[in-house]
Amino acid sequence: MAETPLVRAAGIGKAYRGRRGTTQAIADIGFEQAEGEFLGVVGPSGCGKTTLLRCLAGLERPDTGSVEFDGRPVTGIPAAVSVVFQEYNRSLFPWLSALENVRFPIRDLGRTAGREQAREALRRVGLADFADHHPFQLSGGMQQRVAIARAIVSRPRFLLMDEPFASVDAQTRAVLEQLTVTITAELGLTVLLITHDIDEAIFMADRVLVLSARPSRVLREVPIDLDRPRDEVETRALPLFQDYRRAIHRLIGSSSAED
Amino acid sequence: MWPVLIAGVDATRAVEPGYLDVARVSHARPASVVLPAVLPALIAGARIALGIALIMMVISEMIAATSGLGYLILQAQRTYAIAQMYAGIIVLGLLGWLVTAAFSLVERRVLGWYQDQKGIAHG
Ligand SMILES: Nc1ncnc2c1ncn2[C@@H]1O[C@H](COP(=O)(O)OP(=O)(O)OP(=O)(O)O)[C@@H](O)[C@H]1O
Ligand SMILES: [Mg+2]
Repeated sequence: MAETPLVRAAGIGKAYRGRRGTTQAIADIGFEQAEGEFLGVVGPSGCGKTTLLRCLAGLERPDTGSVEFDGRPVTGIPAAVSVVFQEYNRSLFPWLSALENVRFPIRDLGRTAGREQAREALRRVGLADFADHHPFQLSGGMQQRVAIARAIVSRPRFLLMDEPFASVDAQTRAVLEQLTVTITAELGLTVLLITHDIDEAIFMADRVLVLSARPSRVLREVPIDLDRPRDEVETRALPLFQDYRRAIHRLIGSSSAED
Repeated sequence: MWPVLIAGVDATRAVEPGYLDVARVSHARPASVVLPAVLPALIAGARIALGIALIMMVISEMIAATSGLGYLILQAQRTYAIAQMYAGIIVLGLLGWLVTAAFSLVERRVLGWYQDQKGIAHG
């Protein structure tokens, strides 16, 4: 682990300036993430999680601090980075079939090869039989699977996920959490998962970054020493899981009690 | 042309920012998602433009031209050639129907996804 981290954020801050004054979204966030590591980021609603993700992806420039990917400062969007956005209904293209949506990031590959690769990605998320369906013909959970397939189709090195399961029901959520952990482990992906669900972060991640309320900073980094492969039922029932859960809830609770 | 242009500009401004983000992280040109996104609005604009064009054509023929369908209908009316007048009107109706049908066919081809999504019946 002495190697250089894949992702390094140092002192990043970002404010939004509007007619009604300035909103400081994130104050001072720094962390490092090793290649292959699954990092969870939790924080209260509106604390600037999406803003952080946009800075890491290169979609937005932070006002202060810097982001490095693979040893280079992030100025544009690195080619090896892909994103699953918070709302699938605003990120899947309604005019394309599931297959063509998934093929979009690799559209320069050529039709035949691209389709083959897109089909392979759809297979991984269990949607091989729905390639020709349009997003509106799929359930919410299925649409999010398409979004995940699209994010892995180009074989990225770094996958950013912004509350990917926030708008699906609890059962689907559990299934998708398991699926995501399995796929990203198979592909050896480095993942940063943003969520406001503490249990989800503990279940999926190797380490959890706990953010404070807005303007956010890192309250603590909590390494999660739970064995893999993890199981939705068994792992969550472990006393250690409950300990992590309690600790992180307390952290967030005490931070919002301060203001 | 105006209804198309106005509809196009309006729709471009309202394109889902999420689509643009996806284009950016996929290293695609913004136009590759803006065009399909505004197509329904463009076509709705074109439909209106088409109706206006047809009406304008006939009216201008009635007023200013010495040939054409509008001229024929008006001329027949003035000379009490009632049968001929109705024939002209029927041809005009048929023409309108034909143009609309052709238009719907094109619309169905390029906007099938949109119609299915909105549950628009098509015939
Ligand atoms: N484009 C913008 N313009 C102005 N203010 C913004 C913009 N985007 C976010 N903000 C503000 O910045 C703060 C953080 O927003 P952000 O979306 O990053 O939070 P979040 O933690 O992702 O929230 P949620 O949990 O609801 O997804 C909020 O107070 C929000 O009002
Ligand atoms: Mg958010």
